[in-house]
Parts: sequence; structure tokens; C-alpha cells
Amino acid sequence: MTLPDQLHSKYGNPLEWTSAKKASFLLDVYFVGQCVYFVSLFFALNSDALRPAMNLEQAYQHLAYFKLLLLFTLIAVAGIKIVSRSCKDCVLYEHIAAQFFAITHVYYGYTIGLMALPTGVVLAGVPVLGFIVFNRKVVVFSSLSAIITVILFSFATFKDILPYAPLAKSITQSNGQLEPTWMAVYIFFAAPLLVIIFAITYYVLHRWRLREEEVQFLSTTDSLTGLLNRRSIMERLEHAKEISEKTCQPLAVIMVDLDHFKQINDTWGHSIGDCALQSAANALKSTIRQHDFVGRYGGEEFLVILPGLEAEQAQILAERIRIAVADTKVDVNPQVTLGVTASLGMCCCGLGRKLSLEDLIKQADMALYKAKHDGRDKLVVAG
Amino acid sequence: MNIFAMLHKKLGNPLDWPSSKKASFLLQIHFLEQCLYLFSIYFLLNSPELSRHLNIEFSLLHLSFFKAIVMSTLGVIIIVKLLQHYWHESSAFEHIAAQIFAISQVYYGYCIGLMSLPTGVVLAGVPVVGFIFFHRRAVVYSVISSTIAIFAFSYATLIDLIPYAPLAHNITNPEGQLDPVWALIYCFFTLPHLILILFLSYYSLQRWRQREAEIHFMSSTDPLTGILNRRSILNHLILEHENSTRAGTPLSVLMIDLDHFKMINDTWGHSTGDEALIKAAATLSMVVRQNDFLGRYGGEEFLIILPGLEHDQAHHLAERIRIALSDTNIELEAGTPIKITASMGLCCADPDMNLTYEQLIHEADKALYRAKNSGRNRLVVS
Repeated sequence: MTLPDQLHSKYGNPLEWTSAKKASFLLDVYFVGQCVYFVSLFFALNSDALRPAMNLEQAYQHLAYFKLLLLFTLIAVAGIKIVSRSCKDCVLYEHIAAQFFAITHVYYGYTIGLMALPTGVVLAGVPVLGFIVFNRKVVVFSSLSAIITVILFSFATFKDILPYAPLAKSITQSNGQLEPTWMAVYIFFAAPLLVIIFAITYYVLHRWRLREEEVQFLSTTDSLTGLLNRRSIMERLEHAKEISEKTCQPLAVIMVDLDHFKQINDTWGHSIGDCALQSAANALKSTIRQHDFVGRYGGEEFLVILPGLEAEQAQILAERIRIAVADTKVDVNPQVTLGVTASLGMCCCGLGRKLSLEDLIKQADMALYKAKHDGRDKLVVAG
Repeated sequence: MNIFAMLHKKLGNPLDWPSSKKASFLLQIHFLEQCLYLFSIYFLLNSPELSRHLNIEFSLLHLSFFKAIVMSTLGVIIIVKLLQHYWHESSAFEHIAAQIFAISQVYYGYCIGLMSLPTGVVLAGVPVVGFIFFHRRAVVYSVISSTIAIFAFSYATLIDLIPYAPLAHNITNPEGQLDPVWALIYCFFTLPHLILILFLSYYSLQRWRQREAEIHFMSSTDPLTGILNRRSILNHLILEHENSTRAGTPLSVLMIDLDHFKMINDTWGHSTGDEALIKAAATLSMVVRQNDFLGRYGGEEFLIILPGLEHDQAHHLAERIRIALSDTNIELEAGTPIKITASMGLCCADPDMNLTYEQLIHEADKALYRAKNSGRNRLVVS
């Protein structure tokens, strides 16, 4: 089992989480992030190598703010977990979590410099990821809050009310080059954020694609027989017809109808009828070639498309199909085994015969009726 | 018509674009960005107020690099346009476009300082949008390229091989504060990227949601009659069955089979049979209540789920349905209209009966058979 599958079986599809679960996931991740910030600051203050690059007075002050915010987040995490148990799920959870995340994260960015790499990573990456998973209004509003906060902080820095990057003594050296310590700090904070953002995006989009494929599969197959359904076999036919006209290849269409199906249903019940349909469908599937198509056209009617076969070859294959269906047996009970047969109507169009899609089907249908009238379990070729 | 609908009509769904179109879209956007950069550096160099904040010598040097890169991007755009007629769908287009974008953006970032806000925005935002509608391998490889390029540039800066932010005279003022002009320049370059990234992700995800909703609709409805198909009516039955067991409310299932349908098909042809089905489905959906579910269960069989109705209420509604159906006619081109009738089997389950949903259907089916055997066009309650 791959890692994404394991995650899926444990957490379900993040796209289908409730609002409360999404909100508490964001806050959980954010709490871990804040712990990293807090520990880093603590570490930097106690490291002889990093202390010279820091503005110690400011750093101790902000350390106190960090603690406060951390506590606050913990309360919010617990609050959402408790409240969501008794209250109805609503988008408000997401709004609160996202606004809290946006505004306080700008504060963290401010402490190391808002115009720096990590701020940019969060400012662009998180909203895009949010658009995938979160309610879109929530993301728009919290992004607006974040941008306004960034502008406010920058303006205050501009007016000399606040220092730029208060944790840093100076982010550049005397020669105007970026301080190597601060470059390392920026990379240290940007890299894990990037990895997390990419990993979550990749995973969530992967789940989304899988979900879409499942729905796509359901929308093109018939649930009882597993063959293509009427809509998609008709689409295939249109497509095959276009190609055959473009490449001047012949095309054959067979309409297959199970004989006395109504009688089977009425005598033995629907479940035996369903079994007969499934067995016949399996017989059809295993007889056609790799690039042929077979679909369930109606109740007990199947449509087979044979691209690239001349009339004689198609007739041989159609005859094989008839025999394959006639060889199918359905066990009704230990004593009774039911034989299934089908009547087939085939229509070929090629170089000499140009037919419209409707005519092709109609001719095959008429040939099928003829086969029914001629005593069933027969193949009739139109024209 | 809002802007999204207009864009969609004009451009189609970006998710379904061929590789070559995706690649040239990225390159065109990149070209516009580069024009903006080129124009900005011209503007800064020619403004006496702002040029003091530039390192003139380096700026003039990099100006010529800018021009060279703009020209080569233009060249690649033209080549992609020419080649796309031969290979429509090759991920090589996306690989090339993404690599060019990644590496040249790192270079532009280096000019104003790699550790700055705009670099971060592009570095995080573009790959995430890329994951949505680009070839995923192309995105991963180009992210790797840009990360390596960033490390290489940063390392070279650290060992004083190349200067940090060569265009800047000094990105901080003597007190160690970020130079206000450079803060402004950072904001100026961040904003268009951020807006574009957010807009593109919003738009492409919206298209994705729409596409999925369309497929979902197709997978749950019967194409002929437009009502729920067998699979989804059964899914609804399972859900309603769970609900009724939990809430202790009754649940009724009505199985309907059109009478003599085979005869209609055989006598007047399939198209008349189809019309009968469509008419019957339309009549049924008019009669059922808003919270009932109606689906096509088999060829000429319909299934209706009636949640929350007591025995006699369900019986009453089913009888109304039968009468509504027998009032339905199919108009023929020639001759008298055909009357449709149906036989019905109803099963009402109280939660204390503890029936499974399969048993519910089975009971309704048995009642339906009795209705058929006792003369059709009637309702039998199990």
C-alpha cells in the first residue's frame, strides 16, 4: 500500500471533510508551525553563534508574544474540537481558523521581515492550497485580511513606528550584502513551508483526480453488466464512424438482442434475468477483439462496434458472437440450467456504402427484427 | 454573463487544453512579466529620484541580459506555435516551458534579491497552480531546477562570488532598516504575481468543480428519461433506509412496471416505446412530492422511494400515481393515441419490522407480480 492510500484509509478524503475538521486541521498544522517558531527563537537566543545577529531586547519581548500566541492557538484548537462536537457544522469554523491563521501569521512574518522569502511563500502558497480544500469565500476574506495586515505593518515600518524585522540586529552587512545568518534563517523557514505546501497540494489533487475518475467510470459503464452504457457506446460509435470516414476504413455494427428474455424474467424472476444479462455480456466481452466496443443499448439489447472489418470478416466474427452467447448457461437451481440465445442484426458500411449514424443503427435494427422473425438465434446482415 | 463564463467561452477549459497550448500560455504570461521587468528597470534608471537606489553599473549590465532573455522567450513562443501543428499533445512542450520559466524567474529574483517577498510568492504559488493544470512531472522537475538554481545563486553570494541583489545600491539604510524604496519595489513586483496566481487558481479550480459536477450528473441520471438511474436510486434507498431506521420513521417503496410495454415496442417501434418511457417518467416526477425519489429501475420499471409516509398515506399517494399514469397518452403521428397504464407494488415498512432494503424491494416486486397477474393497471400492497 502506498503512502497516499494509507493516508486515505486513515483520514478519508480531505475534500469531503466537514468544515470543523478542515478548520481544526489548519489550526493543528499551525500549532505545530508555531512550536517550531518558538523553539527556533529560543534556540537562537541560547546559541552563541546566532545571538550576535539578533536584536536581544526586541527578541525577548517577542518571545513573550510568541508564548501568548501559542497559548491562544492551543485554546482555539481545543475550542473548535469541543464546540464542533455539540454544534452543527457550519462554515464559520473555517472563517475563524483562516482569519486567525492569516493575521497572526503576518505578525510572525513581521518579526523576521515581511519583505522576505518565507512571507512570500506563505502569502502565495497557502491561499492557493486553500482554494482547493477550503470554502472559497473563507480563503478570499482571509487573504484580504492578510494583505491588509501586511500593508499596515509595512506602512508602520515606513513611518518608523515599528522597526523592520525586529528580531534582527541588521539583515545586511556593512557592505550592503545580506547577512549570511539571516539568509540561512530565511531558507530554514521557507524550505519546510514549501515542502509542506507542495506535499499537501499534490496529495489533495491526487485524491481529487481519483474521485473524478471514479465518477467518470460510473458515468460510462452500465452497473449491471459492466459494459459501456447507452450514452457512451453511442459516443464511441460516433467517434468510430468519424475515424472510419477519415481513414476510409470499413465499419460494422451488430445489434444483439437476447431471445425470450421477457419470458425468462417472468418465469424465473428478475434476479435470474439479471444473471442471464451478465453471462451474455461476459460472452460478448470475451469474443470481441481488443479495439472493438460493446455496450448495453437497451434492456436486453447490446450494440457491438467492429471498426476496420470488411463485411465477410465481420460476418465471421458476428457468427462467433452468436455461438458464444448460445453456449452460455445460467444455473437457475441445482436441477434447472437455462440456455441463453440471441438474435443478431448486422450492418456494414464501407467504401461503397455511405450511411448516416441513424441509418446504420436503423438498418442493424431492421436486420435484427428479421432475425427474430426467422426463428431467433440467428444472424441477419442488412442490405 | 459574468467574467468567468466569458473566459470559458473564449478559452475553453484550461484543464482540457493540449500540452502545447498550456506551454504557450505559460510562456506568454512569462513574456508579459519580462516586459514588465524590462520596463521597470528602464523606468528606474531614467528616474533621477530612484536611480540613486540602483547600482548603475550592474543595472546596465543586467539590462542587456534582460533584453537577451526577452528575445529568446519570444523565440521559444514562436517555435512552440510553429511546432504545435505537428505534435499537439507532447508533454515535452510543458517540460520546456516550465524549465525556461523556473530558471529565468530565479535569475530575475536574484537581480532584486533571492531572499525577498516576490521570490517567495512565485516559488510557492506557481508550482501549486501548476499542479492543478500542468503535467505533474513537468512541475516537479521545474521546481527541482529552480530550487537547485536558488541554492547555487545563494551559495555563490555567500562565498562572495556574486553580489546579493546586484541591481540594488543598498537594500538597507545605514540603521539596518530595509530601504523604503526597495520595500516598495518588492511590493510592486509581488502584487501582480500574487493576483495572477490567486486568480488562475480560483478560475481553474472552478472549472474543475464544474466539470466534475457535469460528470456526476451524467453518472446519476438515466439519459433517456432524465430521472435517477438504477445505481443512484438504489444509493438513495440505502441512505433513506438508514435514516428511517435511525429516526424511527416509516419508509415506503413503490415499484412500477408499465403494462404491455413489449407490445408497444414491437407494434409501434422503439422510438414510440422510448416516448412512452419519457412521458411516464415526466408524469411520475410531477406527482411525487419534493422529498420523494424517483428512478428508472429497469427497462420499463420505475422505483419510487416515499420517506416518512404512514401506511394509508403511502397507499393514497400510490393510487394517485396510478391514476395519473393511466391518464397519460402518447400521441402518434397517425391514428389514435396510445394509453399507458402501469401495475404497481407497494411495500410500507415500519422501522420495528426490521426489513433490510433488499427485502423492501423484494416485497414490492412480489406485490407488483401479483398486480400483473390479477389483471394489470392496479396497485397491490404487500
